[in-house]
Parts: sequence; C-alpha cells; structure tokens
Amino acid sequence: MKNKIGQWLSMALVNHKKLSGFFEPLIQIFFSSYSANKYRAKVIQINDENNHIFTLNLKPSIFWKGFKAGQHVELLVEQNGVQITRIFSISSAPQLYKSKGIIQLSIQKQDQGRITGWLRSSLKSGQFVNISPAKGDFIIENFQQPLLLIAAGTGITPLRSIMNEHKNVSNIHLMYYAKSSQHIFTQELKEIENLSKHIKITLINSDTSGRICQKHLEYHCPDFADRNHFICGPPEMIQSTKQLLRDNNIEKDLINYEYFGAKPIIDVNINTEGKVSFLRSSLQVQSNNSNKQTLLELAESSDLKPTTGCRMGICHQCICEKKQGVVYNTLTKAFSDTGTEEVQLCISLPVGDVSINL
Amino acid sequence: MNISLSKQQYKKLAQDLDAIRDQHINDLGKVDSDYIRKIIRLQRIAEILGRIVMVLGFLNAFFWVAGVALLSIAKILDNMEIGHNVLHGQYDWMNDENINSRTYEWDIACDASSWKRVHNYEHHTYTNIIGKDRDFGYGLMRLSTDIKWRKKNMWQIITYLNLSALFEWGIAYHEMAAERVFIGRKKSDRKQQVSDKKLKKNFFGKALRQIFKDYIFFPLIAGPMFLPVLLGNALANLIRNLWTSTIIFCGHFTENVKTFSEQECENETRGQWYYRQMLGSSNLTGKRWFHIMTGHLSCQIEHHLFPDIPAHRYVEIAPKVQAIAEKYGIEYNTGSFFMQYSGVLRRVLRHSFPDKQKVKKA
Repeated sequence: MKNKIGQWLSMALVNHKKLSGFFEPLIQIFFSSYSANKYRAKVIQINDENNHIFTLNLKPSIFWKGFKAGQHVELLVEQNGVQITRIFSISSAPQLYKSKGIIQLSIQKQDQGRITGWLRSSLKSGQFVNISPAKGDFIIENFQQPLLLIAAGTGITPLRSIMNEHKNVSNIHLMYYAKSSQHIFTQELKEIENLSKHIKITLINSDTSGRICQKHLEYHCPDFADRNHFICGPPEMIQSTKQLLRDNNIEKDLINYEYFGAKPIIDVNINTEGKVSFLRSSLQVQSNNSNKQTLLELAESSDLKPTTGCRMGICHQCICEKKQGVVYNTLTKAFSDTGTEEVQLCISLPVGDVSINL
Repeated sequence: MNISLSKQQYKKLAQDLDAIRDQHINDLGKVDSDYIRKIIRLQRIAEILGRIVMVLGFLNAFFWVAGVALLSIAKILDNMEIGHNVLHGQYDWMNDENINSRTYEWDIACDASSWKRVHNYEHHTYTNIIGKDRDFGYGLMRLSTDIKWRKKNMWQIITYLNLSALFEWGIAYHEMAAERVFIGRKKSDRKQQVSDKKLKKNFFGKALRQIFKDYIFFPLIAGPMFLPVLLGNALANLIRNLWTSTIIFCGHFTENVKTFSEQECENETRGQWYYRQMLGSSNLTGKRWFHIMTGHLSCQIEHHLFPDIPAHRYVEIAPKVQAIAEKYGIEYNTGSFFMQYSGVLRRVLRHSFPDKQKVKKA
C-alpha cells in the first residue's frame, strides 16, 4: 500500500516510477555512472590470467550489499552510448571483499563476442561501471559435508571463490578441466592445496584426457559418491556431468550447477518447427526443430537488430510484442497464450507459427 | 491533385532516402546519447529552478516571471525534444530504462501509451490521408477542400485558438477517442484493441496526476504563495500549449501542404510513402535553440521521413533531403516561422467558407 502511494506520487510529480529516476541525470553530473537501480563500482585494476582470460578488480560502492561465494553479478557498462549488461560470477572470496572492499570478475574474451574483448581493452583503472546486487543460489549451505567441485574452462570462477572462502573449514576436492596450458589461478590453487590435507586439487588437461567420465571420477576422486557436487562450465559439460552423477545414483539435491553464459536450450523437448513472421519488417524465417533457435537468434539471422542486453532473460531489454502464436519461455518453462502479449525474445522459442511485431 | 513520379523514379527516391537512413542508423552512438542526456539535464535544472524561483515571487515579482519562464521551457523541452522523440523510439538502442519508448512518461495530459498507439502508428503511417489521418484537422477543423464544409467551420479560427490554448487536453482526448471509436468499434476485426475501460482509466489517471501536480501539490507546499504558484503553473502550461500547437500546425497545415485520398495510397510502395511524407509536412528555418525548442519538429519533413532517427540529426540531414527533393522535382516546403505561420492562419481562414468553385460546379 505504502509502495503504491509512493509510486503514484512519484509518477504524478516527476513522471517516473521512482523519484531517483528523475534526479539520476543530475546526480550523474557529480557522480559519473550513477544509477538509481544499480550500484557504482570503481575499476581498480585489470590483470591478465592468460591470453584469453582477464580479471577485473572492482570496488563496489558502500551501498552494495555483499555476496556469498559462488554468486554472480550483472555488470553494466556503456559502449558507444549503448548500455550493455553481461553476467559474471565473482571469482574472489567474500573475505577479500570484507577486508579490502574488492571483488574480482574473471572474464573470458569470447572469440566472436563484441563485448568481452572490448571490456579488456577499453576499461581503465579509476573508471566507474555499474553492478547489480549479487544473485544466484550456487552457494554452499552445508560446509560440513565433503565437496566435489567440477570446473571446466572459465567455470573455475565461482569455484575459486568457494575454495577460498571454505578452504579452512571444508573437505574439498576440485577437478578442474581446461585445455593445454589454459588452467588459471594454478599458483593460488597450489597454495590452497598445501594449506590443508582436506583439500585436493586435480588439474586435468582436456586436450589429452578428454572430458569427464566414469574413469576420471573413480580414479581422481574415489569417494565422489559421498560428496556434495558443484559443477560449473559450458552447458554441454554440465549436462553430461549431471547425467554421469545421476547414473551413479547420486541424489538430485547433491548435484548443484551453474550455467555459464546463456541458458541452454538444448535439453528443451519441444517442437520448434514453424514459420516466424517479423511484421514491421515484413520478413519471414523458418524455425527448425533440429537446430533450435530463440526468437532473438532467428531475428538476428534475418539481419534484424532488435534491442538486446543479457541474452538470458534477465534484463528485459529485448521485450517485443508477439501478435500471434505460441512461444515457449525457456526460463519459466511455460507456454504463452496464442494472442497478443509481450515476450522476451532471447528466451522465447517459437512453437509452430508465430508473428512478432518487429 | 498531386503530380506524381514514374515507378522507376519512386524506386530511386526510396533508394536515395534509404541510403541517408542507413548511414545514420549505423552511426548511432555516444554523440546521440550524450546529446539527449545533456538536454535531459537542462530540462531537470530548468524545472527545479523554475518551481523554486516562482515561489520567491513574494520577494520580487521578477522572480515569479522568471520561474514561469523556466517552467515553460522545462515543459517544452520535456514534451518536444525529450518526450516526443524518446516515445518515437529514437533512443531505444541506448538500452537506458529511463530513456526508452516503452517506459517514458511525459509532463503533459496525454498519457504516453495512448500517444504511441495513435500518433506513432496512425498519424505517421497515414500522414495526410483524408479519412485515415485523424490528426489532419483533429476532426475539429476543415483544412482542405477534400473535406465537406459544415456550418461549424465558419468560426473554426476561434476553434483553432481554443484548441491551441487547451492543446494538451485536446490531444489527450483526441488520442483516447481515436482508439475507442476507430479500433474499438469500427474495426472490430482488429486483434490489438484496448478496452474502453482501460482507455478511460489511462486518460483519467494521467489527467488526475497532472492536475494534482500543477494545481494542488506544488501550490500547497508553497503555503502563502498558493495562488501565485497555481497561476504560474497554469501559465506555464498555457505557454507550452500555445508553443507546441503552433509548431505542430506549422509542420502540417501550412498553405502548401498536400493531402491525399485513400485510393491514391492503396498498395503504396516505400517510394510513394516517402513522397507523401515529403509533401505532407513543412519545415521551419531558425537558429539552433529554436530547433531544440521545437524538438526538431522544425524539420517536420525529415521527422516524417525518418521518425526513429534521433531528431538532433535532422538539421544535418535536411540539406540532403532538400537536394533529393530538387532532383525529383518534389516541392520542399520550408520557410521562416512567420511565413509558415501566416500560411497556417490563411489555410484555417480560407477553408472556413465553402469553396467557390465547388459551389459553381454544383
């Protein structure tokens, strides 16, 4: 009730849902990158971990509410006038934040991405960016139980945070897959391993040893069945690791995972065959079932440039009006109505013929 | 009657104008975001200062006058250069939730969602097609010989002046009625229709908020300055109404602006659409501050050709469009404010009376 009155007043007086939305441009005169709905964070330092991965050291504003090991944040930066949102796990431990007020994001430069490489080359120390509150439930609640952490590639980032945070209290085994000489934080991991006999770290070269399999599990971590599992890596790796653990009769509750990058649509069992019509641009594309694509991908494949942001259903920037047809929301796992409504392109799969006002 | 181009020429015209459009769409960036943010900051400063300075009127009447002037400027900036252009989606690519056509709400009686439905769609698609573009004369005035003369047209200059003074309310009502009458009732086959109830809720909701702000809240917190602040706010709204109405009339109802019939526009190609937009609008010449205060609707022709390109670029685009117009022999209707505005008044007056030729023919 109080909220409603506040919002009404704000709409009446300044035509913004929050008063801060009205004052934001003025506050920005004094505090660059000030945002009413996000937190400011100062870029302290940028380090290269290797040729592909760099670590961004950020100092969030005092209003930021902290995080738990394993959580992620949305990073919001402006690239040539365009606000861009990407999601990254925090790779440092909460302890570092408590002692120095710093969090670290370790970011892989995507070969074809237009953002991550640009972040590395254009962000400078002293500059301000915006971050969201920390989010995610890829966190450890019961640290009495032994842990098996399985990382692939940059999937190490939330697990590094977890290792650092829990190194003194938990029994941890880390299996870390990466291509030849692409393992990062190796020095630091070694130091953690030396700290305690309850910590074991196995670095696995996926070029020579291949992906995770039953043999790896039994060989490197014979007591894996008694552990609580935390998996982070590319979608296919998570799918296969989950399946492997399930095949070993490990309870669902003991398998935790964090998808890296966009939500995968590979395991969606829905027929996406159909015609997708983009009304305003009078274009039509065929949606195939064998190669499932979101409405956003379909639009982009027809050279349309809808507004986009996180590409995973979080920022709500790619919302478009669907005129007709049914879409499947990969995030909520729900089907839409057949009529007119707003949909998020990046997480919508067409189910049969669909027309979009784009 | 309008002269027309050959099929080939229409095609070439579309290519030439599309080339300008593509060039600017691909070039959007920090220049544009910095520009609109700067204007928004100016608007905020003008509004806050205006409301404060107006209250200081008890020290010296000059403060009151300055307050009213600042508030008028703030409202004009908000409606014209910010609101109108943001609601056209000119800055949607910035991904800024406060500078986005989906969320923006402006300091005017007409609620933004109704405006987007009617103005952006109906007026910009069917510009100056008699019978389809309800903005042509707003159903109140006869501004073309294509429209049947009625007795009420005799005093339409008075109607026009009243509309100008109450422009925001006229627009708010107009945009609401459009949905209700046209889409809700006549074209029942349309899928996307907004219920009467929702339209009324939007209309009265926005009206109440606007009245509350300017005529209750700010006068009340001014305490003993209640009446001066109330009057000052009313005056600022009036000034804004007169200004926006005048600019908009100069963009569409000057003497030589052409109208079109529904038959003419059937199966229109992109080239023909561009052609109609060029003939259906008129420009004003002026200094940079003038263009900004009109929300660059002083470049109405460019706005109608490229409604989603950030408006501050229109001044730069205009000479290129004018050159293209010349190339194809299309009239490019531009002139000083006084020239164009006297044309508006002549048009309103001329069509107040039945057409002589038509009477003779009949």
